[in-house]
Amino acid sequence: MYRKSIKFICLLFVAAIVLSQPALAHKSSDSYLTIDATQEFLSVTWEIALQDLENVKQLDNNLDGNVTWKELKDNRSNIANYAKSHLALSYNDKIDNNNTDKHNNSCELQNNEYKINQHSDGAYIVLHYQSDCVVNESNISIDYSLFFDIDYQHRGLLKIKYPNSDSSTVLSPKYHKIILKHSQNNHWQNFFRYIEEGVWHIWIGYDHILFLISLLLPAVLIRNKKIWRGANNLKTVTIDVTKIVTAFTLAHSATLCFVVISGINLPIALTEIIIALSVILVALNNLWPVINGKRWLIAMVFGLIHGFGFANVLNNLLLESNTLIMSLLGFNLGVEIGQLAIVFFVIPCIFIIRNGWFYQKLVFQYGSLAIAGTGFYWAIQRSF
Amino acid sequence: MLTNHSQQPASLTSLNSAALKIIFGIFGLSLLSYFPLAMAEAYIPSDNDIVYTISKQNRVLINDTIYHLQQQVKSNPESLNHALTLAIEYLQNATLNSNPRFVGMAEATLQPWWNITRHPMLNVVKARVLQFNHKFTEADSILTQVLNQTPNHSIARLQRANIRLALGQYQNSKRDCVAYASYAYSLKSEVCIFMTHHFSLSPDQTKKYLLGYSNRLINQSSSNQTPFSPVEKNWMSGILFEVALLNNMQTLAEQLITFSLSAQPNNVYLLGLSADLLIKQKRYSQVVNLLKNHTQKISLLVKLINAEKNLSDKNFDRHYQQYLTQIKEANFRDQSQHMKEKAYVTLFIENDAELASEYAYQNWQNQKELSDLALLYHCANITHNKKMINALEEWQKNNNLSLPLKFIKQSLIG
Repeated sequence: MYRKSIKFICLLFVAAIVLSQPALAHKSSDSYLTIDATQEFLSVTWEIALQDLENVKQLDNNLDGNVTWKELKDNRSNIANYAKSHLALSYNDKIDNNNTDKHNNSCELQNNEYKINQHSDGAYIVLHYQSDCVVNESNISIDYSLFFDIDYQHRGLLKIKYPNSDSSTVLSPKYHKIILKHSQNNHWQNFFRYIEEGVWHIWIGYDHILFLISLLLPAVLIRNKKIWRGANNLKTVTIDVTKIVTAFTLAHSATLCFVVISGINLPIALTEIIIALSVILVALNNLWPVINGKRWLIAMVFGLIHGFGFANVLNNLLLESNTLIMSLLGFNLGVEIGQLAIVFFVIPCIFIIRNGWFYQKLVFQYGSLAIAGTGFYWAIQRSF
Repeated sequence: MLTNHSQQPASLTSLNSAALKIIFGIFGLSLLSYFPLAMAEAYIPSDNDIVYTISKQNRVLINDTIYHLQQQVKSNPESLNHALTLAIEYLQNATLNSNPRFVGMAEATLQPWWNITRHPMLNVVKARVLQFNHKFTEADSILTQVLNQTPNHSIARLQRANIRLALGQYQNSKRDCVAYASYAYSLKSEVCIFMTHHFSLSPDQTKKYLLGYSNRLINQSSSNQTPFSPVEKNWMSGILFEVALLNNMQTLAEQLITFSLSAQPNNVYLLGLSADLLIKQKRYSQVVNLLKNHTQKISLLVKLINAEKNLSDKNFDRHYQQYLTQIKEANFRDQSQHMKEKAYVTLFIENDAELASEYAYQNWQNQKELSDLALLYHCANITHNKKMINALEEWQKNNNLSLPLKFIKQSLIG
């Protein structure tokens, strides 16, 4: 009898292994787990395939081959509890200064909603849990074990939503535990994100760019007896440009920080009009120099106003005070990087052509006039 | 088996290709813009709505054999033999139903013993699980260990022959088939040798063997003299079918596939082969009829949308979007999945030969069966990509083949 069953096993196995095409056209078993860390308390949305649940919990109460919504509702608490028993959320207490013990506290999960969703391999139940874990706890750990004892190739497809970003990973029998290092992750992510925002907002801020270019246009020229001529060397130009850009940066950074931290700001409309006026004045100063040698001073004074303009943008981006310093630093750095990129592009170009008629007449004079005209147009537009 | 529907001159092809790229780019973008809307949002059904229909294939509990074996395992949790029996049954179901969930169940069943290395049968089952997951090199290594301990292990020998074929090692695979034949001679062993050897035969010899094996397979299966299991029949049919198609023997290929499908009309592997033949013959309506109820299987879905595209079928948009959803879900889990399907769609539906080539090349890194070879060759031929051509030349050299690659292209693709 035993030999017969061994033979039978072998026969079965030969049948099973002979086919060289493991054509697994169906989808593998996955569940979709979303942890929402954007609110005060963590919440969990979990989508689990009904065909997987059916292997562990009888859903078809009347055994007619179909599972209705009512049957699912009747099994709801069974399903929710079963799922919950395979997901452990916990957090560490803050570390005691006197010892390094960490205490793990479980997060309680309360199922408060359930729906159905369709994926490519059929219907999934969508379970929503609210937890009592506060989002800003030092370390929240997630331990996932759904279906691993039944289907070793089941995977938990985890997505974590933070306030400013999302991250995703795949949970498996080997890698079933992760730690949400919420605050730490966000600091650096935020910092780089705000650098990006700073660069972007200087590059789309045409008024800021025109203001800067207006200041830079005369940097490659020297005015002597009411006549503009090309500067002698790049070193002089560089020193001049450095002073202008540094003054502008310091000024707008100061205002930006002041506004964001204090919350005191000028009305947006007024700020925008003054910025437009600043463009006009600087451009006109190129044509009729009132302040010649100390353009860095103009940059500083008007930079303060431009800072109010950046603050309006940054206030829209900032969401949480615990990322404020990094966000501010990042944004300022981004603006600076954006400006330097413009400077490094513009200065070499205009230095090369500074001596000719083309630059001194066309670019410098008529260009400044055009910039002033544009500023004038903006000022009118923003006034109404 | 892939079908090329474009046989225009190169200049016109590139112009068409550019124009089509633009059109499909816009088309694809517009589809993607609907994608978030078209993706099902969670909803609350009515009480009497049927949310899930239990299919006989997938429901473990009503499969009496599996249920019985599960109870045995529960009663004997320490028994490896019972666990192995259940795992083998799971794998049988995985093969017949093309359902990877059964593979995971087999692996879960054997977890308590997974790290045991000196049990031949356990190792063979482990290798099979790895083979399902396309981890061919690891599977090969385990089977080599088994054969080092037990050189006459026929199951391990045959299995390794198949794996080495997937790795593109035709000579090594042939050695295993010959060894298998030495202690388990049958039609199976002959077909095994044939699958590794047909490239070296002349066209006349190939045809002679093909006809002979096909007739024997059909006759023996019909007469029940030497009954083959469904899986064995499918395997042999598949090999003979592919070689028949390679040699442009479409009538024989059709005969083989019809014979196989008559016994298993819903077998994914067979349906895919049948679709390949029909596409090659431009019988698109029949492809749609064949595959319209199998849209959950991505390997069949891509062939369906190919046919629908050629027919300008109204369901093309919906099924194409379904494909995108399936790929997105698969990519979440593992970016390397379904490279062959991605290459196929990118090439024949989206007309982006460059991107298709990348997918085909990545697929080639993992498996080197005939259909993978044809895909790679086709992409190399269009893009003249050096990386691809080098890969193909290396494959030829490693397998001591002097076969002109155009021979493969002619027969496998349109």
